[in-house]
Amino acid sequence: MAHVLVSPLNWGLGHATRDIPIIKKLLDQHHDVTIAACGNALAVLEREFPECRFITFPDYPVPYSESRFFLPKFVAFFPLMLRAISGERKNLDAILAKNQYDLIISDNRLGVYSSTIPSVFITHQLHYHLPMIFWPVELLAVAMNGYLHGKYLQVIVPDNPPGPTALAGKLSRPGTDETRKRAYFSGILTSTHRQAITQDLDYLVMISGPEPQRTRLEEILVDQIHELEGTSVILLGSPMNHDKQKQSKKCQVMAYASTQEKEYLMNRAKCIICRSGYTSIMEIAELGKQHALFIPTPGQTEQEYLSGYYEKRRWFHSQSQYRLNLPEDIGLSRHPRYTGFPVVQKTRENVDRLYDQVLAQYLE
Amino acid sequence: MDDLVLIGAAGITGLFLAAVVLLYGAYSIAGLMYAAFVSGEYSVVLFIVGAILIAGSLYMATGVWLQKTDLI
Repeated sequence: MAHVLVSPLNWGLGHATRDIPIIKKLLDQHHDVTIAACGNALAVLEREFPECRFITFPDYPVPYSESRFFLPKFVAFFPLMLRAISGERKNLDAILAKNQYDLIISDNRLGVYSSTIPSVFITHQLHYHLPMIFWPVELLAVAMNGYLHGKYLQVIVPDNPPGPTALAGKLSRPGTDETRKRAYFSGILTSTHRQAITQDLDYLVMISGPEPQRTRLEEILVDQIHELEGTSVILLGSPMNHDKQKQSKKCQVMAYASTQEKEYLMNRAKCIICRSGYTSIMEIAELGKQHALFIPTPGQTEQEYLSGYYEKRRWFHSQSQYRLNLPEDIGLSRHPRYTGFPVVQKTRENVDRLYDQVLAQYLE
Repeated sequence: MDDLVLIGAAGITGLFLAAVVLLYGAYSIAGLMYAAFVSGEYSVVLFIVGAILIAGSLYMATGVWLQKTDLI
């Protein structure tokens, strides 16, 4: 029995939720798991795995911008990020001094690695996408990523290998030899599973992501949803807004849904309307949904790239929230030219293979 | 200090220095153009505008080439 330290980033819940199947697998194999995280990521994992040990481990300030111009704020955040990473390195030393660990799993936490304990890194972004005018910065980021990945024994990429079935497109393409020789393409990893139930809900709208863009999208979609024929559920992703909960014959607005409720609703939905965040992408691929409409968070270059990539591959239709016309865009999303994602291996097989081919060697 | 933090600090310093050099370059060129314009040396103004257009086109063409070859 080995002891594993798992540390996900707390920028949204995506990092924590994709680690759930890995943590389950480690526990099934009778390993001890300590989870070092903060905020909502910590809260979700505490609820999911009460048997684990937990450490509050602060991460980085979130650089999301109130405007659509995310990049300048992100650049201005670099020094703050660096200071946070420096603090993270010191905190990690203190954590490692108190307990013996056999493996460290860092989900996108840049400073969580050790030179004496095997460390692996989870990321779907081997390559950062920037507007073309910033190509020298993008090249620099590729080199920086190579340096960073050199700190880890392996880099686990929750995507298919580069090629026609890669769901993250160029984002999961290694750009340096350092990255290439460490990259392990596990396939999608999500805590959402397919259920054998009838698809009786016409639209599921999932509003998520950082404020204030979350509220902007909520206003746009709540305004337009009544123009659609059929039944719909809107998840506001905002637990504090219970006063906004409403129910009419056609549409139910829910302030918040638990993981299980959300999984059930996603399984029931014929069409999903959501941000093009990679967590939602993996959920849609896991459930094998054929109809979806993606609305990228303005200024988030990753989501904007993925939206454009899916349009180009003719997998799903995307629309900017500034140009959204729900009836028209839903009509377009149903056009036969959009085929949905290619069939991919599901999380269960992926996590078994990941354990056997990568993790087990450090634990047994 | 941790080497990750050192490399990060060097990278950030490099980025900010590059931004300062770029801004200073733009300011100097604008000054040159203004001086040439007020002294009636329109051929110098045209030369500078041409040079900026060529440099800008080469820069953008490099970006397009990097995208087409999947390097970015």
